[in-house]
Amino acid sequence: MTNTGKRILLVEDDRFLRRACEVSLRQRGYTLTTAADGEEGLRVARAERPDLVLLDMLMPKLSGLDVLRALRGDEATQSLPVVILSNSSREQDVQEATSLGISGYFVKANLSLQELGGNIDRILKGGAGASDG
Amino acid sequence: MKGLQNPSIRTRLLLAFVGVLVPYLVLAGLGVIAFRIVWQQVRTTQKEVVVEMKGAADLQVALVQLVMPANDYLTTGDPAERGEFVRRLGRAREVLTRLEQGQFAHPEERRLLAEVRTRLSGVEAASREILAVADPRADPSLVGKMKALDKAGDEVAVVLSRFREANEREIEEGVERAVVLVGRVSVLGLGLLVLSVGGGVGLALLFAVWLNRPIQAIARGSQRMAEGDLSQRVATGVGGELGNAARAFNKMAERLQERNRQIATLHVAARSLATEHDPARLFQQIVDTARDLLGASQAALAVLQDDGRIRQLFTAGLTPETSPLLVLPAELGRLEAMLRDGSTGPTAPGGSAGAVALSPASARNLIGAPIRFREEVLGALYLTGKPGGFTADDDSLVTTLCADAAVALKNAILYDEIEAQRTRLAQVFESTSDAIVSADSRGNIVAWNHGAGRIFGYREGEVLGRPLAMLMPERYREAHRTGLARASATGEMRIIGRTVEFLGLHKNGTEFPLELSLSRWTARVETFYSGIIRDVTERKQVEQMKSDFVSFVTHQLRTPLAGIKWMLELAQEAPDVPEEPASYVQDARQAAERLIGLVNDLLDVSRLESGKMKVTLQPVGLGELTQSVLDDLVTLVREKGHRLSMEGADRVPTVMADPQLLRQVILNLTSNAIKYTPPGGDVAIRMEVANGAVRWAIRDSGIGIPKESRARLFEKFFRADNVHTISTEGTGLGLYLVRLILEKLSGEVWYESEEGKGATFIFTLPVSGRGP
Repeated sequence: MTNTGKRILLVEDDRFLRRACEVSLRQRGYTLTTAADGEEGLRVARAERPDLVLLDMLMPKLSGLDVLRALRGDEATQSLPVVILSNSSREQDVQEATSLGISGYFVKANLSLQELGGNIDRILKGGAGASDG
Repeated sequence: MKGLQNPSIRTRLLLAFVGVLVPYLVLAGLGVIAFRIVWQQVRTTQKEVVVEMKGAADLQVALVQLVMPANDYLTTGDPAERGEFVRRLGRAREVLTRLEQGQFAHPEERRLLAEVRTRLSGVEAASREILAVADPRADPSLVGKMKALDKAGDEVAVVLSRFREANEREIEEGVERAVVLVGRVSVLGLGLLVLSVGGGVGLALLFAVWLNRPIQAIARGSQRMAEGDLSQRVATGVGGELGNAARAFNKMAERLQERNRQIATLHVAARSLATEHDPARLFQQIVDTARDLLGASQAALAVLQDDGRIRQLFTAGLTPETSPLLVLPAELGRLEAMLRDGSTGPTAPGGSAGAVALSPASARNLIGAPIRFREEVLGALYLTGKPGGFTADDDSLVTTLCADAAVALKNAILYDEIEAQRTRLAQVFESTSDAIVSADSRGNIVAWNHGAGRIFGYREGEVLGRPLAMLMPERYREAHRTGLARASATGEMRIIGRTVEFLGLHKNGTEFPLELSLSRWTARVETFYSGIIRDVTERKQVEQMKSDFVSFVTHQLRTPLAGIKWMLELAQEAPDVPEEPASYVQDARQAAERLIGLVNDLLDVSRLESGKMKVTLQPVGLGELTQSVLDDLVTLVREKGHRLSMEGADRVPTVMADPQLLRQVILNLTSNAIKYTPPGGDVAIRMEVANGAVRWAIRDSGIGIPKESRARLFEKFFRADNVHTISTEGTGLGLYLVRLILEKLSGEVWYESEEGKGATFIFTLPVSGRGP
C-alpha cells in the first residue's frame, strides 16, 4: 500500500461516522488516530502532528472552525493539511473555513467513502485541494 | 295700392326703367324741337339774305338802266328810245313796288325805299314833261327840266347806294344773329346732353340704391346673425319676393333666437342637473325646468319602478283636481305601456322620435318623453297647457331634456355609488396595517395613511408635501432621485408592478426592512405613485429562524444518513457477503441515497427561496459540464437500456456561470428524461447558441406530460398524474428547483410535450452568464 505510514487524525463526534471512516481509511493503508470532540482533536493534532486532519464542523466543546483557527494560529501546525468533513454546507462556514486555509470541504452525506479516500490520496500526494461545497 | 307702396323687385325694376327712359325721351324731344327751330331760323335768314340781295340788285339794275341814260333817251326824241325809257321806268317802279311789298323790314331800308319812291316819282314827273315835247333839245325851256331830271336821277342813285349799304348792313346783322342763335342752341343742346347723362347716371344710382337697400338689409342681417347677433330684424316695407324674404328672415331670426334661448336654458338646466346628486331634488328640478323651458302650465315626471309602474310622481304647476295629467289614467297607462315597451308610440305630425303624443286629439296639447338611459327606462316626463299648443321644437326639447335628465340621474346614482366606494376605500386606506403612501411625479408625498404613520412614526401633517426620500436611509436617496427623474423623463420605472424589498428609515432613525408594491396612476395630466409598504422586520426574523431551522435539521438528518450510507458502503465492500444479503445492502444504499437527495433538495429549495443561495461565478465550459453530467448518468442510462445522444457540445462557449447550480439543472432535467421514458427509449440533448443565450433542449420519447398537469409542472411538490405509472421515485422538487435556479441565473425554462409522445425540456442561459 502506497499510503502506508501516512497518519490521519479524524476529529468526528458521531461514532458511526467515526467508525466507518476509520475502517475505510485503514483499509486504504492509512494510520488513523481519532478524536471525538474539538478539544481532543486539537490536543492530539498538536501532540501527534499527523499528515492530515479530517475535521468535523459541529462538535461539542470546540467547533471545527475553532480547532482550525487554533491550528492556523500555531506556527507548528500552520500548514498542516486540513480537510473539512461536515454536514453543514452553510455558505458562511464554507467561506470562513476556506479563508483559514483548507485542503477540502466535503458534505459527508454527499460523499462516498470511496470518494473520500480518493480525495485524501490526491491531497497527500501533493495534489490540489478539493471540495464539493 | 299696396304694390305701389311696397313695390316688388319686378316693380322696382320696371319703375327704374321707366324713370330713366322717360326723362331721356323728353330731353331728346326737346332737343329735336330746338334743333328744328334753329334750323328754320338759319334757313329763313339765308333766304332773306338771298332775296334781299337779289331785290336790291334788281332795283339797282333797274334804276341804273333807268337813270343813266334818261337824258339821252329823252333828248333824242327818238320814239323807240323814248319807249325804252318809259318801259325801263315802269320796270323800276315795278321792282320798287315788289321790294316795298317784300322783305325789307328794317326801318332804314323802308325809309330809303320810300325816298327812292319819292325820287323816282320826281324822275317820272320830270320825264313826263320832257316826253310831252317831241324834240326837247329844241325847246330851251326844257333845258332846266332836263337838268332837274339828271339831278333827280343822281339823287336816286345816291339814295339807292345808301339803301344798298343799309341792306348789306342788315344782311350782316341777320347773319350775325343766326350765328349767335346757332351758338346758343349748341350750348343749350350740350347742356341738355350733360344734364341728361348726369341725370341718367344719378337716377340709375338712386334706383340701384333703392333696389339694393332691402337686399342689403337682409344680407347685413344674415351676416350679423352669422356672427351671432340673433336680435337682427329686417325692415319688411318691401313688397313681393323681397318682402317675403325679409319676413321669412325675421321669422327665422325670431325662431333662432327663441331656439337659442331654449337651448341656453336647456344648457343651464343640464348643467344644474349635473350638479344635483340627490335623486328626489333632481327629479323636481327636471320637472320645474321642463315647465319653464316649454312654457307649459303643468308638468309631471313619473318615476317608474322595475315592473314599469309609476312609483313616484313629481309635478310642477299642478292642481290635483283639475290636472289632465292626473285625470287621464288611461292615457298614463298607455304612456307607461309605451315607455315600458321602449317604443315611442305614435308621434304627432312633426313630432320628433322619442317624444310621445298621447292621443291624436290632444296631441299638441300634451307631450312627453321617456327618461331612458341606454335601454333602461327610468321614468317619463310629460307636459300640458301650453298656449297655442306644442310644436315640433318642443318635442325635441323634451327629448333633449329627458336625455340630459337621464344622464344626470345616472350620474346621481353613480355619484352615490362612488361616494360609497370612496368611503369604503377610505376605510380600507385608513384601517389597513400596511402603509399606503402616494407621491406626485416629483416624489413629494400627497397621501399618508395610519399604517404609514405606524410604520414610519410620522404623523400625516409631518410628511405631506415633503419628499419620499425622507423615508429611506441617506445612502439610497441619490439612487431614488435618479430613478424618479428617469421615470419622469422616459416613463420607465423598473419596480412598477413588482414587489421589492428595501430598507426604510423610521422617524427615530432606525432602519428596518420593508416590502414595497409600487403602482403608478394618472389623474388628469399628473402622474402619481402609490406604494403599499409592509414592515417585514418580523417576517425577516421568521425567515432567518426558518433558515436556521432548515440548516439545523438538514445537518441533524444528514449525519445519521451519512452514517447509514457509509456503513452500507462498507458492508457492500466487505468480503464473502452472500449474494442475497449483498443485494439487500445495495437496495438499502440506494434508499439512503434517495433520502439524502431529498434532504439536499429541501435544503436547496430553502436556500433559493430565502435568497440565501449564493451564485458563485467562474468560467464554465458548458459543453464539458454537460458531458460530465451525462457521464454521471451513464449507469442509469444503461440500466434503462436507452439510447442517449448529445450534439452541439463543441459549439457552445465557455461562460461565467455557477457550475454547481447549472449542473443541478442539467442533472435534474436529464435524469427526469431518463426516468420517465420506458426502457429502450431515446434521450437526446442538443445545445446551441441562439439570440444571445445558450440553449439546451433535452428530448425524450417518454410518457409525456398530461394536459391537465402543464400549468402546475414547475410548482413545488407537484408531480404529474402519470408519473406513478412508471416510477414512484421523485420528490416533486426537481423541476421546482430547476425553475428557482434558472430564475436566479436569469435563464428560462419551458417544455413542449404531448402525453404519450415524449417531452422536450428547453432551458436557456444568457451568454453573459451573470445572475442578478
